[in-house]
Amino acid sequence: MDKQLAEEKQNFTELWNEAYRLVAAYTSSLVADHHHAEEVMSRIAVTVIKKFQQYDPTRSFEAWAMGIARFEILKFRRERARDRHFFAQDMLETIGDRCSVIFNERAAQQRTDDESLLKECLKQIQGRGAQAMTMCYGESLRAEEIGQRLKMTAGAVRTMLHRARGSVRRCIEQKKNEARL
Amino acid sequence: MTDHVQQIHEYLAAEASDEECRRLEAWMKEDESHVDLFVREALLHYQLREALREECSTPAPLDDEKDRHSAGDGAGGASTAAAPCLHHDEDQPPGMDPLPDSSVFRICGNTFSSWPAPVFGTLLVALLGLGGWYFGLGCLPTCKNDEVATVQELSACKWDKSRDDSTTSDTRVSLGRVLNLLEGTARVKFDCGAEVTLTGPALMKIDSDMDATLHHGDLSVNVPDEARGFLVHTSEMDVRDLGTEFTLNVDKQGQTKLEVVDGKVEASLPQKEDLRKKRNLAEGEYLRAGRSTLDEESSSQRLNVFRGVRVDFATMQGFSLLEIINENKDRFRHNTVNECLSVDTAWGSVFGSQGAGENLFLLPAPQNEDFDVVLSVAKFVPQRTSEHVGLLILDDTDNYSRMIYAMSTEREDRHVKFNVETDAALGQPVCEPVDFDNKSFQLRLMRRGSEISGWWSRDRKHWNLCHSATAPHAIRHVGFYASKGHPYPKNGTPYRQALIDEFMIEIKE
Repeated sequence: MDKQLAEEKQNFTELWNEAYRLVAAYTSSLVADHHHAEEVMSRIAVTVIKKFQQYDPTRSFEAWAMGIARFEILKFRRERARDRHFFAQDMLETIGDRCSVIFNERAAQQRTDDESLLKECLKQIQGRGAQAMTMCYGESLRAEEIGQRLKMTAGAVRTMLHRARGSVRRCIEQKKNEARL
Repeated sequence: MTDHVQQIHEYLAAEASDEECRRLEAWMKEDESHVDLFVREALLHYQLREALREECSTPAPLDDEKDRHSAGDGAGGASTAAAPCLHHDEDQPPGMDPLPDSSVFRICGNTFSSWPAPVFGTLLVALLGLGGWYFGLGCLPTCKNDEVATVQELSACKWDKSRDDSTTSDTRVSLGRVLNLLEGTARVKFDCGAEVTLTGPALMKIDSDMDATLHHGDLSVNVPDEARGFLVHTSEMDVRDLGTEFTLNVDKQGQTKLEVVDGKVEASLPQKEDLRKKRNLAEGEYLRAGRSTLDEESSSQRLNVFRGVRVDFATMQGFSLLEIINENKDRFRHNTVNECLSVDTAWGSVFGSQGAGENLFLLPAPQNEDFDVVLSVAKFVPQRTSEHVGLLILDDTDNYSRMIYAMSTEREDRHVKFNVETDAALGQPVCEPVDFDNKSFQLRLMRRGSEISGWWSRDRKHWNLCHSATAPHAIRHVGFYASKGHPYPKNGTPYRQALIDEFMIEIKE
């Protein structure tokens, strides 16, 4: 492989690996339907690749990729406005800005630690709470569908998910505090 | 605070209603800290998905994992398996090698697990020239069954074999399936309860269990309450069913016509305008959108949109919108014959007996918008001077524009005629010899600003301009009528019959 191309590939890979999670989190916050979010994310990825040679390496790749993400989300919004209410464009940008700030508040290593903590804490959720969490986030099922499987009302499922998330949050905080001591 | 967190998660799970989303957005606008809370919860949501989808795509759980999922919680012990997600390495298409280094791109096994990595890789190879750098499919957990509907053939169906060689009656169809019906009628019964009847030639794609795209052809949709929200897309229009029945037609040029048969639908035109603008259409109303219309703007490829009401005399749908002005029952009658409105008259109409109009079918005209009125006549054969049937745009019976089909004994021909009349002046009528010869025909009056033009057609598709003029009169009503004209016969006979099958008014948006 040509050396320059190999470097370019390596460079791209590193940059994209860094930015991917932020872009994906941002996309998933604004395009809630999981399948639609996948579609938008694939469009963003394709655009990022197509335009990579236009990227100015003196600037932040993450900000550049987020710009592309905003554009693709807006484009998707135009195409799919029928589906549901979308936030206004200024809100979309505010969320993007805050997303970058909050995401970058934590160093990469800390983010990895957080993910490990999350997985540990998820293991503490038991019974139907665990089932509901897996169905909701693992399978993207709606409360109604989860309720049918678990023989519960959709409202009860939402409450259960709410409690489970609360438990996960508290667990992560507790483990972080323990680590600090 | 707690409520807002739950609200955020319902939004993130696509479970919030439009109204709830608006409330959430309004709340976020109140304070930046609210946006921060949203973002933090969105990050948690994302991480949960990532973690649990990863689990979902992991090979069969170890025993202790199974135990964790199946452990009773003392609350009734649902026995349903937690996550019927399978590791689908065996589903990898032949010839696809596993990703050599799956950590290179965080694609598979993450949130966006069905991201088309091969496309991604191929593009990258093409764009960056990285020959030999190959992305396999890796893992594609399939948690849901993709089959969403069943096809039933209602009449002899001919399918496009080049595109689809397997559709027959009772065929189950999956997401992404394109149905190309060349001939016949088929019903696609979605599992959600919506029924789409396709009439060939028609091309439709199944987008999801609640979502289809009509590329061209005719379809009708019947949606029970449980499938409210079913969507049909066309190149110009998106139609959301609100528990009803509607029809859609898309011609080869992409012009779309939506008509509501029963209930209500919500239509939007994503190519044209503010995305939030949606139209609710009720029974009898229709919406037509396309880039090829009679309009002078057609050449500029601007999207023209018309919203209308159709009076269908076969069903009498919309008939109550019409008012019959000065009905003279001695010399006029109307009833339904062969699914048409039969207007039988032995008298004049626009001028009437006292100089006032009689027996006019009118409805209020749109005041500030451009509009078209169309009359479809199944049969009318004028025999003598002033026997005619036609359309009106009028202020009163001394001030109007009209487009009629008539007989002139003096001219010794049948013709279409456009004229504008006011108190001040009789406009010069423009006549064009046309004999519809016992066959159906259509007349049209089009208002664009102060200009009114008259058109005629034999097939509803190809329209011929008769004439246009500036209308100096006010516009209060639109409508149609049939006239026996003079010389007026004694005792109101004989009658002349006009069979009308359709009247419609449409407003240009």
